[in-house]
Amino acid sequence: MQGINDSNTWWILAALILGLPLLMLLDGCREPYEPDIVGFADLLVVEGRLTNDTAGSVVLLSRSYGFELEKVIPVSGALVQFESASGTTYVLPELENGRYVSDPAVFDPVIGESYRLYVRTVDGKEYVSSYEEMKATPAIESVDWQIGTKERDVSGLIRDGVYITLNTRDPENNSRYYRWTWKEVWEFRVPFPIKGPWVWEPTPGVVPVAPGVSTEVCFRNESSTAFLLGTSRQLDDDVIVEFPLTFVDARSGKLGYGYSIEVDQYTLSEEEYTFLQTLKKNTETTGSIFDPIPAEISGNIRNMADSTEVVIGYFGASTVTKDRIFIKRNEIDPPIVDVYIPFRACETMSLPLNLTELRTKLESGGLSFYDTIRDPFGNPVGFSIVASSCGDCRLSGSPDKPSFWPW
Amino acid sequence: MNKKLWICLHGWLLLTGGSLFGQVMLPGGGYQGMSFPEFVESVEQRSAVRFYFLPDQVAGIRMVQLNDERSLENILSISFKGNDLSFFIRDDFQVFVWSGAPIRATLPPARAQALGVGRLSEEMTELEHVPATLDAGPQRREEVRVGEDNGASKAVLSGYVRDMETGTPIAGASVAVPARNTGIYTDEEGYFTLTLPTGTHELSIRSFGKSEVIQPVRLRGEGVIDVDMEDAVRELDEVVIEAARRGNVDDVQMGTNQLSIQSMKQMPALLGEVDVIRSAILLPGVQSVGEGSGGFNVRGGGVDQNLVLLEQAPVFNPNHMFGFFSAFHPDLVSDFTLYKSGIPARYGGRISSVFDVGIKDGNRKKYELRGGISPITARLSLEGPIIKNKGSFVIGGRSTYSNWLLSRLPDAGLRNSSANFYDLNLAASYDINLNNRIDVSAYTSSDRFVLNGDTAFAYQNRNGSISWKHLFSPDLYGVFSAVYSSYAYQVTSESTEEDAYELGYDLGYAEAKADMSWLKFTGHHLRFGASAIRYVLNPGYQNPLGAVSLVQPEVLQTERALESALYLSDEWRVNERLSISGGLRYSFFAAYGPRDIYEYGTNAPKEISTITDTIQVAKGSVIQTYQGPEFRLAIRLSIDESSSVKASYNRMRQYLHRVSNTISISPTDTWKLSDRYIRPQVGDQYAIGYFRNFRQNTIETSVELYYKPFQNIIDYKGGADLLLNSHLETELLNATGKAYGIELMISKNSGRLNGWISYTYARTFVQVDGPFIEEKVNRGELFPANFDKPHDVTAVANYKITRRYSVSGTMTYSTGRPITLPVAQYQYGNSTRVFYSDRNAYRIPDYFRTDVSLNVDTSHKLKKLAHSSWSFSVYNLLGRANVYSVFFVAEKGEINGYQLSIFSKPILTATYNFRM
Repeated sequence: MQGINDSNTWWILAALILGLPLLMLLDGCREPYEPDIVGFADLLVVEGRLTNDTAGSVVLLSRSYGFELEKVIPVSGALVQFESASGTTYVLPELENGRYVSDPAVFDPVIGESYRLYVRTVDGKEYVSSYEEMKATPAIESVDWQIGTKERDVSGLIRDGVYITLNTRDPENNSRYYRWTWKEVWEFRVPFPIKGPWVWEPTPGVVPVAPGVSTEVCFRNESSTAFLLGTSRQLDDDVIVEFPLTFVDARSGKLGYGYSIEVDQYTLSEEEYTFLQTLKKNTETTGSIFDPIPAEISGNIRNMADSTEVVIGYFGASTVTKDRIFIKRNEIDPPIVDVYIPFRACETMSLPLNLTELRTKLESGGLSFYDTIRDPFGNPVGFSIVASSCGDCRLSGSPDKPSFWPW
Repeated sequence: MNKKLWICLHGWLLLTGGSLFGQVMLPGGGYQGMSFPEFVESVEQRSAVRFYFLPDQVAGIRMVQLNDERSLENILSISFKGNDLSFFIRDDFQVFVWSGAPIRATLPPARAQALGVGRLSEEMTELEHVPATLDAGPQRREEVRVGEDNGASKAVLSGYVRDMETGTPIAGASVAVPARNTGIYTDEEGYFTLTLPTGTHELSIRSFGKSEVIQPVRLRGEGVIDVDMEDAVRELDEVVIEAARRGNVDDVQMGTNQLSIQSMKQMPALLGEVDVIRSAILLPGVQSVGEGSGGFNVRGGGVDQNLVLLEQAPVFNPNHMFGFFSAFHPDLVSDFTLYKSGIPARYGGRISSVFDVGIKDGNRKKYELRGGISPITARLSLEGPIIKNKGSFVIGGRSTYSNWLLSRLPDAGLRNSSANFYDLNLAASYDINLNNRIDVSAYTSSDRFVLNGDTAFAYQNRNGSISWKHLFSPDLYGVFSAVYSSYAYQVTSESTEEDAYELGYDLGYAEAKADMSWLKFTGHHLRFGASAIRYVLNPGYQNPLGAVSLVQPEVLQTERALESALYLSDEWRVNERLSISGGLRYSFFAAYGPRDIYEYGTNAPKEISTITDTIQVAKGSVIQTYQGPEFRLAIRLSIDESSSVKASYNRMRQYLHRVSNTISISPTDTWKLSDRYIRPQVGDQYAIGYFRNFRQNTIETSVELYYKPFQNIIDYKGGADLLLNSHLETELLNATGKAYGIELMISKNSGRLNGWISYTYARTFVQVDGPFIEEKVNRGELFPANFDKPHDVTAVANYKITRRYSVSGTMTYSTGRPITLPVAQYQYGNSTRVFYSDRNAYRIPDYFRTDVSLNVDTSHKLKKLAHSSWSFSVYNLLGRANVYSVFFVAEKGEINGYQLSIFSKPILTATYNFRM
């Protein structure tokens, strides 16, 4: 065999440095994974916070469920009560299955007092949380927004959008641990608003919607799903600066007309913060190779008779402070939202002036009557129809304008 | 000539107890008139005989016709007659042919002993008399007068054996006085000592691949003599002779593996980087949690339980680039030795293993430059004499030159990242005179990488050692060393100006020690010594970065401690069949102030809320002491010439612990000293093994069983916050555990085809059962450790096609490591979440990987200025996507599971190496 001679050496050397990186294809490393689990853990889940919210304090009782199931299993009929250290008790009424909500008019928690949560399920098991001091939450200093870009995990595409951030400050330096939740609302419009539903009886024709009800302008909302947790414990001052609450993708259609987000702020105890942080670490990780091993979670709720029973949940207590901002479309500069127009695929379809054909189309589903086509003299010559989602915004939102909407 | 060789080998035969040497018979005819290479080809095709020769030297040789059946040596003798060619047929049928004078067959386990486990000078009592009149091969030197006559009847003769060309010590050379049936092997520094009657003697000094030296000595009193040896066959080092020969069966040590850098360089390398730790992971009993995870686990021990030494100095983070590469420069490393059980008493401080990486001795005669490039790094090293024949140095460095690897990683976070690293080594030795030698070593490695554009991690290892070897008398010498080592990391983050910070950690290690070796008593090798280590450890600091930053400066209190130890051990060769190596090490640890210690309520778990008092310990006052004996025992009992049974027991104590919440080594791991709450880890190991060699020691087999209970291992509470935590004890749990396993290995260390196959069954369990519910994991029951991988099969094979081409392949299979999986979903915080199973209740899919490589030596001519070679390797040839981790993410209120694999496609790389 003949070896590689020296004149070739440099050529290969060059190929090695320049060419080999191209041979290195290291993609496709992250793939979906379905765990093969036999049986599942059936556990009581208690999610409750005592607050001074005007909507009341909510305690949710449910049970954990297996991976083949889609739905949460609420726990109904339980006795749920708040108990103060000084001995007062208040029973929360169950408004929906597994959803127990206090009436702020009847029960008003006192800042500085300690409370605990008591639960007795229908099978007679009693659960109790540790006592938690009702803490005062400082006001949110500001909620701000700015245009930015985000790289998506899966597709890898760079997306334009708006970052919503928060600043807060406790002049007393007392709060230190925070949790935020938000609810965003946005206005959207359909391009071919219908006047009303088409009916066949008694006479074929449109029944206009009631005055004040719009098929064109609607509102949708979404709530935060991730745990938004922050701490200032490493800082001199109790301040949180530019905490990223969410990223509003310009392509989502949320920024097309008007967008509003309301942020709720809660002060946490260090223990509750740690508990939520653990839940967050266990399920909101990025898959980085430095991720810690999943931690066991232990909340502050125990079965009074059996301390080995695992109960998921942490009962916390604090007041809530709120802030809301609006973003109008014309405030967004550069106008990144123009890249994507919601409902841009919408179009009308023409039909001959034939009721039978119209009926066939409308009864096939998903289509609505838009208008009658007329010649220049005003004589009807046909019908135009439209996809229902392009003609009636109520299919994807609510026509009720929120009371705080600025226009 | 034939006769001489026979006599010479006859002596050898008696040593090994009879082999089938000389039984290669060739039928008459069929090869007459062939050129020598043609003859070689013909013989190699039909037999296991393998020839090593330089084509230039055998040009013109024609094989002589012989009509009757003849032995190979006879044929060669006749054909080479008058051509100034010599040859040597080794017992494994490897035939070496060279031009020049013949060498005499050497003692078989010579180099093995040198590289081998005990690295001991061993008495050779059974040396057979070889008449010294046969001096055609050996080089006869001038008579030397040694010592001053003081009327004594006996005197001690000692000295060094060195390579004439490079001046490096020759370990494992035999220094014999044939007329008196006595002799000894040189130790790792080429040192020997012999007690002889005064008078005239002829020393016969032999080492494999060297011409024998006959050195007449007129011994008048105690004195020293140095012997230089010449290569018998030049360039023989290209034939990798894995000479661990009978060590498998003969050494008292068990549970020990040693690999030379030549072997590591033959194996397929990830991204072309010859990797010391990755090579070690192929050995039985050594595992890692997964690809790209730094560190390794030895027989169920944690990654912090391995004492990684580089020239006596510990390396605290032996990894580059997240753990993809180990931080040792392959051109500077000579070998590593891994002690898995029966750890000698001179080592201490870690409970699982000792991983001792040696830097090679520099060439003492001439300068040599080596280098190479791979897709990841460029490396360069230079070695040469400081003062010719008196001292030498070796210096080298390695650095990565591109970030392109990262840009291809699957993780979006890593893709926006950059990584740089380098390492530098310097080692030098200098012989002041015959009784004093100085060795110096310095090492630094540095890594810096940026994750996601705004957070930069950096870490550095720095260490150095200086040691002075002094001969007090020829049979007593001491090595006095000062060792320094440090590890530090820094993290800087500038995501927002207000939050910009830098935080860091550093550890300083300073050690003084003395190791004495005493060979006074025949059959005994006594070692004793003492060491003292001072630790100064800054567990963490955080500072604001920039004027706007609001980050509060925070400095955790410095930890200080002193760890000292005394040891005594003896290797006692009781008789031919029985050897005992016993030792006792006594270690003492004291943590001292100034430092604040928290007191916790006695009837509550250690939590911030249960702190009852803070005690201020004054400067220099002792906070806590721990001490204890560590017994070491190893016994070897030979059953016959080729098999033995060995057993060992050792206890180890560890006062320094790695604190980490991740399964692999990560750059922000810290080391923590034992203190009032963190007790020293204690590990015992009982091991027994059966060792047997076949085919004239060319095939070694072994079966080893071990059982290891261990105490005071660190575990963590759920979601433990380990960074900048001044009360770390509140996050830590005390664990105990046990590991047991069986390791089967078959290896062939020489010949054209060499390699090994091993199977390991090993289990490791941990138990965390504190008095409080917060201090239990899995209700206090035993659970599999993170690196519990019961089945492991590894095969490594190298095949030398010709002198210039060789191919290698490795194959590894192991059970997937345990993980904690979600077992239920639940709703919390407006999102679906998962509830995890008991710790480590499930496993990731099994691991399987095959790598191949082709090594090409481009220059085969001796006189060529530069010697270069290419190495082409394919990592993960089958492209199997081995799962590294499984994780679950809440995305839009739903739980999605993902599996992550790090190298899911075959990776082809080429590496270029040169030497001049």
